[in-house]
Amino acid sequence: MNLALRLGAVVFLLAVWQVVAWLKIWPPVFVPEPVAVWDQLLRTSTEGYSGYTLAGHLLASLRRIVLGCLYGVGGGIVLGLLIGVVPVLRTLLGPLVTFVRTLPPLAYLSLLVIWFGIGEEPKVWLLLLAALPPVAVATADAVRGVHDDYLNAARSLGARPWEIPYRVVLPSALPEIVTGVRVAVGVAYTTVVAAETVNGVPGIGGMVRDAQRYNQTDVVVLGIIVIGLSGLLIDYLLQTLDRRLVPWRGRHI
Amino acid sequence: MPSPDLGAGESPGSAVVEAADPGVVIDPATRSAAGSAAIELRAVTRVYRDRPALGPIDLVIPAGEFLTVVGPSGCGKSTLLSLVAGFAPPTAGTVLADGVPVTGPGPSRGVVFQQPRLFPWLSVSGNIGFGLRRLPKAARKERVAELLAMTGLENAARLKPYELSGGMRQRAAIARALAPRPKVLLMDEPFGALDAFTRERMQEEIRGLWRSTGVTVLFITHDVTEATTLGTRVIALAGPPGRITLDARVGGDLREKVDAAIRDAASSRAGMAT
Repeated sequence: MNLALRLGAVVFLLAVWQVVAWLKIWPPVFVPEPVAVWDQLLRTSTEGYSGYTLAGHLLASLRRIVLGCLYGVGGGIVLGLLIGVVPVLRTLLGPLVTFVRTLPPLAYLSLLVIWFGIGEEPKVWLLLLAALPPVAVATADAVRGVHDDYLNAARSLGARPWEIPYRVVLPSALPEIVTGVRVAVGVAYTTVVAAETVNGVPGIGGMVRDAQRYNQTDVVVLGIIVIGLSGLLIDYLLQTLDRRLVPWRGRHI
Repeated sequence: MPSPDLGAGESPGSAVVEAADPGVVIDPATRSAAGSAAIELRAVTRVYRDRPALGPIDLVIPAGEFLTVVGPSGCGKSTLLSLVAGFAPPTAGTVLADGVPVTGPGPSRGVVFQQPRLFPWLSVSGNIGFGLRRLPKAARKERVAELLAMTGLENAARLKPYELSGGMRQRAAIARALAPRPKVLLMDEPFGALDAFTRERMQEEIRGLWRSTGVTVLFITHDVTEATTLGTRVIALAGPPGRITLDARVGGDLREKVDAAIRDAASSRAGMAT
């Protein structure tokens, strides 16, 4: 029933799109036909575009997202733990994290290009900087929110001071951290296209940008759809991870 | 439920109350059980943000005692427990555990909180084994199995805390606290969040565990009946700042005596009727 409803919605959207294209209110450069996009899907998948197949572009983007998120999430957890546990660091680093978090990634892309050139480094750095703050903020808040009873219980059971952060604080904060990771991956996803506006081929963002230069709207639309669908898939994977990691989420304990 | 009248309400503020009931023996608060004190508080006070919360208090808890501390909420009884646990330092005075000053929490003093506070990412076994990490694996497994049996949780070993009922959770919390063989078990209104039936059953069980393990228990409650049914000695606290207004020793079998007395009275009356 649910699946049927979703499929129906997709078919309906496609139909509206096809009708609008047929009516030729706007030229195909503005609204390409679904069939044209489908043709581009087949062509880019086999012959490729800008020298790489669609899968090649997608993999290059995913690689950047995965790398950027890994570094960003790792750094965010460590930073959040430090900010949450050490009051001095909270005062020093808290505003900085908020500052970076409010910046649109494009604002510091130019700086990263100056620093790291136009290879992979600035792109991974950009995604890292985009992914880190949500995780750091979520971790810091969660760490501060751990109930004293848990810490006291662990100490009474003989846990050493240096064991407390990883044996009690981090696992207690896990629900919020995983939520932070989901937000971070989403931010990294929306940022990857920006990251690939400078020398982004191979990459979905680079492909879209090249296509835009030559007014190949069908390729642009194809790129958008591929980014959206792969994003959905990744969020689904993260939801599964969430259920695995924090089965106690939302339950009274 | 039969409970000895300790006269707490009749003479508030007095340090020692005489009891008419021969089953209740009164001890002065400063009674010193030479050498065998599991916990000793000497002129302990605790000030929290310029507000005196507790004391000055002198208290000796001999090893093996089941001491219940009863008082209204906010009287400082939780403060007393956290000082003994080592969660907070006294503002003045000394807390001794086994003759050694308490400087922080430690496995010689197990704690059970009002909420079970089990670690939700660990199974029941994992929670019970938390304080046994320094044991070799085989010994740890054996000890965990022992505690599962003691608390009737054999079939819940692999379950996670959120899969347990309230009573089972609190039992797992007690097992976790008892696992490192603490000399003293500190319980802060542990059954306050349970329903009446479960609470009564848990009261029976904690008495059984106390008898079988020989652990010294410091049990905080705001329920007078619970205090007098469970304890071998009851102190009443009034405050803030919390002070001992009553310190009464209860015969270990007082409850059974009272039960027996009631039974006898009932049967003799029944005998007269026939």
